[in-house]
Amino acid sequence: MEKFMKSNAAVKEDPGSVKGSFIKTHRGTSIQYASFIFVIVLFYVLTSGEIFSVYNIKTLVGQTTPLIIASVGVIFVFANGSVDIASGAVAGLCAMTSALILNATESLPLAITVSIAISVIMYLFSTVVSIKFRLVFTIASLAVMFMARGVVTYVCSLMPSTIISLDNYNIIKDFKTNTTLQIILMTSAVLICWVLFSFTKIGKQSRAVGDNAVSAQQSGVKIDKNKIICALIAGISIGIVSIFSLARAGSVTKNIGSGMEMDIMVAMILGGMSLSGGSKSKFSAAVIGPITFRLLSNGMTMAGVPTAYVSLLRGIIFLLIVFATLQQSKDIIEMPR
Amino acid sequence: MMEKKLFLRTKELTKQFGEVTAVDNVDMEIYLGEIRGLIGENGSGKSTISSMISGIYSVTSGKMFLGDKPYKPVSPSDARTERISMIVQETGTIDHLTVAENIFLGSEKNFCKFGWLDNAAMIGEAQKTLSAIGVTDINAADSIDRYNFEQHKIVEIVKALYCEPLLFIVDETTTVLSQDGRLKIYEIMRNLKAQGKAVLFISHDLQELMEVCDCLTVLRDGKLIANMEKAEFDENRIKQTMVGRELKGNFYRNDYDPACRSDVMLSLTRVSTKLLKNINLEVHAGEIVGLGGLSGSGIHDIGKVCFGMESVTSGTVKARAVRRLTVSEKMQENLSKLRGKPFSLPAEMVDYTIYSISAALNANIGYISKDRDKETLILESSISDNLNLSALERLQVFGFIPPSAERKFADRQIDGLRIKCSSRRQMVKELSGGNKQKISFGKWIGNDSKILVFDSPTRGVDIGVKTTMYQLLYDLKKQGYAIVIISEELPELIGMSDKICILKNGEITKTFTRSLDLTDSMIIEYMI
Repeated sequence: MEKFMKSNAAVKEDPGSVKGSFIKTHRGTSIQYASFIFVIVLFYVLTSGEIFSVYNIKTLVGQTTPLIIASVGVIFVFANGSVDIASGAVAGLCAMTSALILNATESLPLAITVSIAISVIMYLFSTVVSIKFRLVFTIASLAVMFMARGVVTYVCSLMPSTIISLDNYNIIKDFKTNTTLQIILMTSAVLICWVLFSFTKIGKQSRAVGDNAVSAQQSGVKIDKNKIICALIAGISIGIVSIFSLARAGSVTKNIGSGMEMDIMVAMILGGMSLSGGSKSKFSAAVIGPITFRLLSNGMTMAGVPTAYVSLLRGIIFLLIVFATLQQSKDIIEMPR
Repeated sequence: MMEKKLFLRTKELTKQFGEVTAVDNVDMEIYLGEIRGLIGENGSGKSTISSMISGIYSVTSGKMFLGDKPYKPVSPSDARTERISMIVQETGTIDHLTVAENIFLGSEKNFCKFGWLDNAAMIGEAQKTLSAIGVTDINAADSIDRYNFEQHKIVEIVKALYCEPLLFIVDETTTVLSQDGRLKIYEIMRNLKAQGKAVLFISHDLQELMEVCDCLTVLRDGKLIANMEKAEFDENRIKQTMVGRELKGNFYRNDYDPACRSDVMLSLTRVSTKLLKNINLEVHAGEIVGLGGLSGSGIHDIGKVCFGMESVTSGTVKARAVRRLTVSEKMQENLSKLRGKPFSLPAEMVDYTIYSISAALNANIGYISKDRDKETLILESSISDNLNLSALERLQVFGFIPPSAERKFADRQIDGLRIKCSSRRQMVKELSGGNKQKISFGKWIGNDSKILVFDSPTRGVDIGVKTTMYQLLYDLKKQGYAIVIISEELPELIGMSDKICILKNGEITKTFTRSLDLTDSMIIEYMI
């Protein structure tokens, strides 16, 4: 709140600022907290407080943890202006590999290590391809998405009844049921990524690249190196998230992990993130956003909205928020030649 | 002689870019059946006037009339409707399209039959138009990519002529054309004149203007200074009118001592690039070297070469700076930062070869681009983030950047340079041109850069801020910084530099040393 007051005062002091620029400059923040509070109040009332029952809170933590871990990792990629759409497919591929490894060796550390390695490789691949061929990152990401999804579909098709079942589910059961473990993992991921994003060169430079790559380069930012490091972080987080996906599903079908990329994007936008990256990328978006997003889905179900409508309503709410955050056409400033 | 018919008249035409007045109350008349030359130094407002007439820029205040009726173009197509067309300095063609498609861009409707474009008809018409002005080496069906820069210009000319303009504006197009191309464009202008059309011809080349034009309008600092008829043309008089400006007060530095330290901080040895030819240049500590020339002369390229942004085809660029720290020294540096103790860098200096931006940064070179808003600053970001970006390496302690260090660094620059802002969190895009420029200065000064390359440091700032910039540059010089100023404004170079190198067509044509007697007119002949 204090921060708000201060910047408000600053705006008043500035004679050049236009009326209403407070809302304009803080539009992201306003939407971030407004939608968060709105969702809490709305569903508290609609479910007569049931949404915050101990049981449901546990469910919410279980649903939110993987989304937060994924978001805090992927936000680095989004910050430098790359829109990633492969996370779901990559997580699916990693989950499938983990399942195969667990069935073969029953070694969880090995499964996690290999998952992270595969995910990192996929992210580095799309980044290097987009750098080398000067391709928009999203396109490279799209290719990776198809590849990863393709491998999962193919391997599943080789299995009896196209499912890879886990021989010993107990090894990874904790990722689904142990709330303490979930909170610990989530908190550490948030803390580590927050420090990297806010207090190191990695985060600062990635935002500069997202805003203006030319200026960033002329200020000494090694753009390619920064993008690769960001991809590395995103890869690690998606690798970890894949274990959660596997634990949730209990077995691997060709659709495992699908839709995660959209969940991440929607959650971050709900959290006030600008998908074009740059200095408007706020780390808090990757934490608040997933919570709001899960509350929204969970709350709707609890409030008795028929499942058939949940997706539709979610889409409508998402559209409304995108309209609200859409940047108005920039003021065109004429410069002397 | 027949009375000429007035085509276009401007009344108190004014254009402001932010706080800078580029065109100041200009009353100008353009008559049919004449070729009017527009001349003036860089930044005198020539291009701005023509851009307003052709609807590219909006008018800040004042009016324009076509004959007696008011003329208010909102876009270039409005100008086209009034049969005014312009050829600009930069390329105006669109890659990957065919020549015919380029020529008829926006008027494809004429070749449509029931909604289908008749390509053959369009190509045929384009070919006819091309041959009408005697162009035989361009095939209208070809992709424009197959042709060179000069042929692109020809295509643009054809495009501009197709609407049968009553007023044809040529904005510094001839500088990029070869002799043949120039002759062609002169011929076109003369033909138009003979047909009773008006031509506005903007050029740096005085010879060319005197030869082709019937009358000249001289601009200086956005004001109309003189109108001359062909009979009055006199090279020296025109030059005098162009540059003769009054200097008020203590604008630039007032010493005439070109002395500097003996150590060479930055040196270019036989450097050639696509444009530059065999450039030799030395910049000493405590010296301001000015690079002057017209826009295509290569001055901006030298700046880019010094910062490792443009690769050289031959020759070397070397810069002198403190040697790299060893691993243990780095540890010590971090520890002393942690304890808040000062850490003294080793005194040992080494030469770095500049081949990339990171090499330039290792050698502590700071560079401000001519296009400050697009290439040096991040407008959407805060003042603090902008100032810190190039100094992150120096601010970090064991890889982490403490917010307190960021804050201190930003506040020091804001105070030191007296940047007017509400707080360090204010967005850079909300600042005035002068304050933006101060931030670009602050980025590098705070970053221990000892070699500063400033491309057009006072572009787009008003007189008041200019004075501050000059004072700052002078202070930096006194502190032993090696400074390169690239500028298209001669008075600025004369006023500030210890040494001025003038470039023309990628070569240094003359080097002047600072002296009281140095004047614009002595220099200008090496530029044009």
